[in-house]
Amino acid sequence: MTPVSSLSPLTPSVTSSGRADEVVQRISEAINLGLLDDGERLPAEPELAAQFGVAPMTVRDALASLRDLGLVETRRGRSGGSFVRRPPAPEQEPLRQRLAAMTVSELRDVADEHRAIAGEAARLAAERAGAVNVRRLFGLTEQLGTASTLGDRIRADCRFHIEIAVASQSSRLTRREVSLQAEVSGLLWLPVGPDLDVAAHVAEHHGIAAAVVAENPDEARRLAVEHVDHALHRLTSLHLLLTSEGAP
Amino acid sequence: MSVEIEELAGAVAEVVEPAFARLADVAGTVAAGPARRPWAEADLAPVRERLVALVAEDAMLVGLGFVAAPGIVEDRERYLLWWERKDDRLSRLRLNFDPSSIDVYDYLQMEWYQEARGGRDRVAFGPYVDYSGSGLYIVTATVPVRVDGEFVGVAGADLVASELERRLVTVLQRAGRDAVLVGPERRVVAANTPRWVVGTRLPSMPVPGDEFAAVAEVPSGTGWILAIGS
Repeated sequence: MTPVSSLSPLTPSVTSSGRADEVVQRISEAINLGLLDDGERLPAEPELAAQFGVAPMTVRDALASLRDLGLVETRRGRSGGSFVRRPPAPEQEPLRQRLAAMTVSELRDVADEHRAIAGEAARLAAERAGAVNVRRLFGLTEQLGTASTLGDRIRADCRFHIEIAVASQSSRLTRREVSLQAEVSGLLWLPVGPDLDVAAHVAEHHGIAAAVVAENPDEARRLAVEHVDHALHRLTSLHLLLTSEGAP
Repeated sequence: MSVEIEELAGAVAEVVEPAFARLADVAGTVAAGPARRPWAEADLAPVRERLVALVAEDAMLVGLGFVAAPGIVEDRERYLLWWERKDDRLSRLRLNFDPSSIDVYDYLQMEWYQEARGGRDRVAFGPYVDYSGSGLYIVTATVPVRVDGEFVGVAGADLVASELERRLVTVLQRAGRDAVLVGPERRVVAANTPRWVVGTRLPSMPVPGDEFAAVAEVPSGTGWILAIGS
């Protein structure tokens, strides 16, 4: 995965909001979700600045914070640069704070967009997927069920949805799905309140994969949209739990 | 009509011929490695040099490399010597080969590897969204590398779909009638008409009949079929 292509979908659309902490948040999520590989070299500072639409100084500050968080390592010399260091599982506190700071209407709006993207990606995937996509979808569904760490579970979840978008043959839908996964999946798997029902989640992925392999576009879309609705349900209850009095 | 379609199919093959010529070059350079095996990484220095030179020769090429079969390079179960070109900058592609990882890039499972390993002399897989590799919409072309008949890996090239499309459509537009190029997955590689959409899959491989007036195999060795609409 080239650093540029894996970061570009995460570029905020409103450049004025590109402060250092937003750059930190985007990059740390991309690292935690496995969108950036362990050991991968980040683009050079001017390139990152261009991608995020911020000043090079802002990128420098962001990289310093990422170093402090232990997510990035900077080496000097000809083969130097900033390299990704992926922790076994994402830091939970920033995710909790972010979910608490959101509003229910914001969560619903993210889900609205996600329904459009994931639903259409699934519909197209059912029409266009090749044998290799289908194999990967079932493989990732199995990995979601057998993952032994939270980090692996989140990555298997994300990769499944990204693979659906890949199978749709659309680079743009894939970029949107990557961006939505970066925004949502860490929150979805937060160990707050009642545990997310892994078996049910696996069954839903299996259902979507089965509709894709059966070349049933309407069913694939329906199940993918339903899956987003279930995620919205969980995110809303977690948000309300975190913002209620005596929050965990 | 039949002469015309054969000519057109020949012109389509010419579009990808340079890429396959470069792959043959890479394969030859790999095969000229030391007779003793497994190879050390240093044994592949001439291949590295050749890849860096070749990948810069054509704007359609965004990646070029040698992908080793297991056990061919010492102490490496998986080994990829692959260069990517982005805005005229070359970089070595590094992928995650840790089999215990969710993000593992297991090229042994990839069609472009399996087909070449399985005996096809030329593979053109795609177009597809290469999320794990280049991040681009591409066609991956491969040829097997054999030493004394033994399969040691594949030489591969990533062809960026946009430039490949420009070149193929230029050829298809000479047809003067609706023409579509279809890959072995039944996937539309290019068409000169909105009647068939690139990246979608046809319900079945084209055969002469109601929908198609003429069908010909493209002599590129990739299993591509050229069809002229009725």
